[in-house]
Amino acid sequence: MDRAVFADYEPEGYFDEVFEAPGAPRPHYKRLIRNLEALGDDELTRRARLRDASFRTKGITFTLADDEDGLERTFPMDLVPRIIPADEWSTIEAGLAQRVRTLNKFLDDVYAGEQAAIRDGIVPRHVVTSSDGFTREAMGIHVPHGARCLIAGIDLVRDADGTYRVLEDNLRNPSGVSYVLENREATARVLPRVLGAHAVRRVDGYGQTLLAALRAISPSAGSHPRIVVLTPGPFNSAYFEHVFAARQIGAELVEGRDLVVDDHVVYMRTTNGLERVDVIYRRVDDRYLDPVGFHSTSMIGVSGLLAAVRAGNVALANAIGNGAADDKLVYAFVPDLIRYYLGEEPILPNVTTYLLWNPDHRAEALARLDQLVVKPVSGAGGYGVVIGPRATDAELAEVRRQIEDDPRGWIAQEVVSLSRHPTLIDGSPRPRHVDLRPFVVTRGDEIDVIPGGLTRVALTEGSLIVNSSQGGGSKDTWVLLGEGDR
Amino acid sequence: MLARLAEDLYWAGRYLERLQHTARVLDVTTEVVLTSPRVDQDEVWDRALATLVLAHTFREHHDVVDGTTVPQFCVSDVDNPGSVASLVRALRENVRRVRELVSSELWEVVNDLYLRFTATDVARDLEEQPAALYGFVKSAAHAVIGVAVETMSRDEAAQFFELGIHMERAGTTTRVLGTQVATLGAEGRTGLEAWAPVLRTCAARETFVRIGQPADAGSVTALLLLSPLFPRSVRYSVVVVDEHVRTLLDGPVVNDRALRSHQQVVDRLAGRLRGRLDYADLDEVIATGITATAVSIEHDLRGVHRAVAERFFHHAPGGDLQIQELRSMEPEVRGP
Repeated sequence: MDRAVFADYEPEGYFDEVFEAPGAPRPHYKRLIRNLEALGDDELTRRARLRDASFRTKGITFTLADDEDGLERTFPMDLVPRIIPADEWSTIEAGLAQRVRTLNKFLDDVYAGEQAAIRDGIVPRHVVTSSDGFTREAMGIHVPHGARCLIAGIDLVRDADGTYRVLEDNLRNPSGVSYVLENREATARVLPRVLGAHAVRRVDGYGQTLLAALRAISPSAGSHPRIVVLTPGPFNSAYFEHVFAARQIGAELVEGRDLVVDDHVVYMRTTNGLERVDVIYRRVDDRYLDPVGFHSTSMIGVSGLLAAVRAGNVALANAIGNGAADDKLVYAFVPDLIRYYLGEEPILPNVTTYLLWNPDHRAEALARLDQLVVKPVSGAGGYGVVIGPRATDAELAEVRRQIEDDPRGWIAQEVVSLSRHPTLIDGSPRPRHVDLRPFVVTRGDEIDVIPGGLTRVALTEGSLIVNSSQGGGSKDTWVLLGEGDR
Repeated sequence: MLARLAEDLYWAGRYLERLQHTARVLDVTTEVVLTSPRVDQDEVWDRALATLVLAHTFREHHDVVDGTTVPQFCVSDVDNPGSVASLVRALRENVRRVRELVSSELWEVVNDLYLRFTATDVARDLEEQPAALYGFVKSAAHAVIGVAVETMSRDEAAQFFELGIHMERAGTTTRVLGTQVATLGAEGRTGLEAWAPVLRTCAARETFVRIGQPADAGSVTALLLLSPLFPRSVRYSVVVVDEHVRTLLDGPVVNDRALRSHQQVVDRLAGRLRGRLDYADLDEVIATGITATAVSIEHDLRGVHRAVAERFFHHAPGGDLQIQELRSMEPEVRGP
């Protein structure tokens, strides 16, 4: 070992998760850095090969939406884990629980309540009803315990002074939780002694937590409701995760054609006839769920499913219509909704957001477009995002024109200079931007947060886009046990 | 288990059996052509197509039947749903869809067959070393069956897979009887030299020699149709089919009336066909005629196939037990 692994690492001007200054790791990272230095460059390279082989054999892959060949790619896990100390995590956990509790209440209020938040002027009616995710078909559908966001993925970023902020809420079909578990397994295999030297909270309780949450919304009284996972099929980009979920909870993985609705009851076709289904953990988008209920030509849906849900004979997770609450416009109102429903101050702040349909906000944003991030309201996966400081004049002119055409279709946000984390690039640690997607489960009246979540890292130098679809990687994320934890 | 997955497994078994049968037919035919200088080669290839039930499909694509067009069509033509290439692909696709239900070892050996076949220069092998190519396909197919037996629990999934293998095998051996055995019998041929290719088509030559009977239509039919011990005889496969159907029906009590009625049908048809073969008399078979017997057994097999589909997969199958099925049951057009 010639020189220290982290000798040349420069945090530069950004908030660095690990180093307060060159050569000075934060207290909760000191042991990790010591462990990795002890392994040395060559050994880390060897461990990286071990990791690659293990992911390939297990077939932990995803496919890109626009890839015609359906090429299977691996979602690369960086060897340097992210560490969150116990006290920091307890704040995040409280903030996430508070937020998801609020979003559940808001959705229940909109679809099955008296729309009090709209009536009391907390959110303008048109903001809710004009959102792509607002689903008239979901009006009047009740969900046991109001557990509408049964599994939520809340994207967090850290700004220049290290404050955690919510970037967006994913309340429909958040994916990524399989990587949280697979990454931990890979770390245990590839860096066993490094992991063993830390007191890290386990993540493998997720399956049982999800199962308990799904049981809690079952309409049938029995203690063993029939639960199935509904997938669009093997050609879906997240199919691996659907298989994973079914395995975790010991449920059958079904496609739309395996289910049939008779007299508002859902059955699955087995070799011994029809068996009643009580709960569907669906990984199919709302509009494809039911060709009758949603008037679509969906080939992957189940005719009559919506009516069966409405009749209360089957429960869906996540509930229909959740897109009304993870809309990028509604996002801006979540802090007010927290105050309104819970009477509490938000623990996790939003990123400052400009609502472009509001003439004052629009004027302000258009005046300094080159300093803001502009996002399409209905976009996902990082597509269509324009980052002002990095955009060309032509790109800025184009997005300005699009905003003027369709102000409801866009928001602008202050640039958050995402925190960075040492990441092994060609065998050496380099600073790369990261975010964090923790997973939050609504289990009856309780909220459980899976410790840590998925840290996504933008592998391209300087890039702020961490999505797997755009060249992102991931990191195992460790939440350290605190004094009182067990 | 889910009906769709049971059906995928059943068809995986059928594709697998069809695969090795196709390789064996082509292997034997190639050798006959090479070692019998006076034989009418085109007629031999024509008979191979008839045995594989591909004659009609072949004529949709080709005008000339010879030692180049037929092997190419039957091995590498992806427009032919009964070609080795199509069957290997269909087998892998089916096993991939049921990956959760089969052992990892089974998936790996099927995937390996697929990867090795797609990496093969088939055109060159057909030219230079056809026997090695067919040998690879046969032994890979045997390996898949062996791995399934060794690594899979004897549960519903394994039952449907084996049911598919033996339904297909009963059908292919019946067709060898109806085409090749009937033809040679009608020509009054005797002697092992004349009968060896037919026997080898069913991997039965060694067994036949050990039995020690003089070779003629009767003794060959006795082995291929009625042997209770030889694993590629029609009777042997029908017994396996009957036993698997019975085990599968021995599940929970079914309340659905339509399903109960299909249950009775599959029970009756499988049992009746088995009884027919268990208590058959060779002289009667010869008197009836080998072709007529084969046609009637194929009819009964179709009935069992249809009843199995209606009872377990909940829809009437498209087409026949023949190659049309391979096409009509392609995943994209299949299903209720």
